[in-house]
Amino acid sequence: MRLSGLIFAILMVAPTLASAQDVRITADMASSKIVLGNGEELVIERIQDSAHRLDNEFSKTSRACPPFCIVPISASPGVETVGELEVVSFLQSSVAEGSGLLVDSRMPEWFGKGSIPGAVNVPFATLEPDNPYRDEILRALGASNVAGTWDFSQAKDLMLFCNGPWCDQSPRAIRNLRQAGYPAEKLKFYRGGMQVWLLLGLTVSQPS
Amino acid sequence: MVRGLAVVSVFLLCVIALIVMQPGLSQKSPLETALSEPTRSDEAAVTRDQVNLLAEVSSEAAPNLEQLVIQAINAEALDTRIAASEPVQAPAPVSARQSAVEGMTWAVLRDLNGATGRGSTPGAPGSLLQVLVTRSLTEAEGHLSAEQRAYISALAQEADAAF
Repeated sequence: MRLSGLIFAILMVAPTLASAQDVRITADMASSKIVLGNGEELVIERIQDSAHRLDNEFSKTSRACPPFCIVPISASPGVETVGELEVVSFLQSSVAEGSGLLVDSRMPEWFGKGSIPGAVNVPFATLEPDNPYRDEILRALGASNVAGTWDFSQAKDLMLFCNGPWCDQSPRAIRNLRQAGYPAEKLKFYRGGMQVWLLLGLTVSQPS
Repeated sequence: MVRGLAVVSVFLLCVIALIVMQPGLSQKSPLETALSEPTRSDEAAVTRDQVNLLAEVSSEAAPNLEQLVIQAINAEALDTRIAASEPVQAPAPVSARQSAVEGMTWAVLRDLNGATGRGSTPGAPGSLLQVLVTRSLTEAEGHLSAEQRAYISALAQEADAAF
């Protein structure tokens, strides 16, 4: 009686165990749990349903160009282009310890529909040189201005993204930051953006 | 069947016993205490007739926002570049007094963010960065070029069509 009950319990649990981690981020990483400085916990994982398909805006293949043209692999000279694993690593290290920010460069109407967990929304338009608040935004990012000269030594490392390879919002933001003097080594460009992030079934957060 | 009923009965008896014997059961609940009317023997009670509703409240007890502003101005770490900033192309003309108040507001916002810990996560709701981003989007649109406005418009149309 006891043996049959035990076998029954194992049979009930086994399918769950077998399918729980079939779709991992890497062979060594099923998911990533990140704790931010304010105590907020993020979990990055992949959708486990192997039949899942994209059925929203990000399943479109052809948008008018211009303005939605394919962007170059490099957003600006000296600015490294990264992939999904680098985004996760950046969240685990720089963002978690407070020295970096994952920046969603899209306009608010896009950001509000979902973003990468842990990302903050700094729309590219706010970094335009004619924005009277642009300098204050740079200060909020850790830069300082002494006698008219910008000092970015204490500025945060930024990893910027937008909608994907057809989106120019984060490249524009990166060019504006470089024009303001932000060091190239403190900037990273996640070219895949939401398009590839979603295509890989990675976790998307809904901003509050 | 009989055994099961006995087990259930014992369980219920234990639950009832625990409820009856829990400490503080005989005492008044906080709600009952708050709602109980003061008696003549309760000398510390204040009735409506005794309270002078027109009495001035001590300024020390009032919220001290003015003190916060003064502290923010006198703080060594105060960034005076906000108060004495370069000429800003504001959409509407502002008086000198309004600019000074605005500068103090920014300083207080920054210090409050730091004091509350909200500033530790730039870009989070309520953070200084988010405030600046919101103001940029609502007030600086007039400073965008025609190409930038066209691009932003196209983005908005694409977002409307998509979602």
